[in-house]
Amino acid sequence: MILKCNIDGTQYTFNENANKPLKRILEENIPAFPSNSSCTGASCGNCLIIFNNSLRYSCLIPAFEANNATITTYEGFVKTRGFHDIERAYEHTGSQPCSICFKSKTLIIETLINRLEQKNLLLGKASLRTKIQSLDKQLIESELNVIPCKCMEINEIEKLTNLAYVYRSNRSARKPQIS
Amino acid sequence: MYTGVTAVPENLRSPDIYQPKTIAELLLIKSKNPNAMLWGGGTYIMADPNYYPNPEAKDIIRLNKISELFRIQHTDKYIEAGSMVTIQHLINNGNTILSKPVIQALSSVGNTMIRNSATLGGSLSIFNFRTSICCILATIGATAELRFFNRLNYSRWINVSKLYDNAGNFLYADKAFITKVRIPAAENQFAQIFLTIDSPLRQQKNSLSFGLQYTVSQGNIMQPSVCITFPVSGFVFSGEIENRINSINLPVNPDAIVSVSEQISLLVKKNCPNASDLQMERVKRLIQKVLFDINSRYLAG
Repeated sequence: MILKCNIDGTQYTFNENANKPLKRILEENIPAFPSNSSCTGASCGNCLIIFNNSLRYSCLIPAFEANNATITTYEGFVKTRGFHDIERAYEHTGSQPCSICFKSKTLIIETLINRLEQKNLLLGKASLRTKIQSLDKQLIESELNVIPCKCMEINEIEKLTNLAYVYRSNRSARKPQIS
Repeated sequence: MYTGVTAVPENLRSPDIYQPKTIAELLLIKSKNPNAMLWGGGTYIMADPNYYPNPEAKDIIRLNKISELFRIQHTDKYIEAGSMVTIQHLINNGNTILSKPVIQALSSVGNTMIRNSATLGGSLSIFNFRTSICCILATIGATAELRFFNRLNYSRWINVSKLYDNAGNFLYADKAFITKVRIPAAENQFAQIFLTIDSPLRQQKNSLSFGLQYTVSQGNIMQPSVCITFPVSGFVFSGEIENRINSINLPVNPDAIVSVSEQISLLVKKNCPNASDLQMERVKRLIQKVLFDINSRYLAG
């Protein structure tokens, strides 16, 4: 089948088998995409991607489901300013994930920041003058269970997420408004 | 419909993908392509290491456009969920209707991502793999509506416990598909215990799921409903096991607990000869643990 999707901001068109796992397609066509995942659905977490704004295992997505999808891999995310916020938070707190799960945990933190952003927007507390609402620990725990590596505590992730969110909000506040 | 391309890489045939919008359309497509497979969330299929590359890949009928299969209805007595409802969606919607142990057991099925993609119908109708969801639903007496492929406008409600044989195989594979599942609401007089050891997906030969629903009347365990599932080797829902537990007088003496657990593990072995030794040992220990827990709960008042 002809598969059209947006990977890391670039529009791609592939001619692939309809049932081929997305992980294989990414491995074959995106040079930087890691090929260290071979668990096929056993939740090793090495093939995590952001698929249409939600975190997914790319090994469990068939090609036909990825048609017209927007995909962000860690390799693409590194080039964005969003990654810079998380990197600054790593530096500031002095804690960061181990080398095995660094990529997947960074993507998890990114999705947590997006959720935090939504939560604060909903509560009308996007302004920095008011106290930032944190995410539930239960939610953070359930998101972290997506990968088996337990190198970081929930409190650490919560702190990192809040800090990266502050950096991001500051950056957005400085942006000139388009009228 | 996406059609197979002749010049696909790896020289494999690309399966055709059908996306029916109604159940009638689905039945029509299935009658024309009897070998086509139904695709709900696809979690288990994609997790199979032999699924791709496979030269004999079947055509796929995606169910994601059939709105009827996504519906959830609540009443005071039950929750009725379409087969395409995901486990997480069921947890979110059933919070007030289903009992706490059922919600906790459903929440322990995989991680968030798995629960968001695995569907109720898919979990129940995989041919030879029994997830803990089958165990939970069979224990609490859930029923499933089956639509038969060869009989138009014909459906039947069947207890989830009657959908499988002793080896854990889905009895209606290729004959029917699940459209709805009716899950009874929590009843105060019943206590429920659900336990799953190891991940059914990762450790298929060691894992097992256990479910028990019972009530205590005049110091006796009454109306027990027991289900034990092994991911790839068995599904046990037997009246004989229930009879062993029924009318046990509380508080029960530790020797009696050991003897009951041994009797039950023998019955399980008889029903599921393919279960591994570790699984059988775990069944015995689990029953002992559960009976000790019931005992101590009773003694504590």
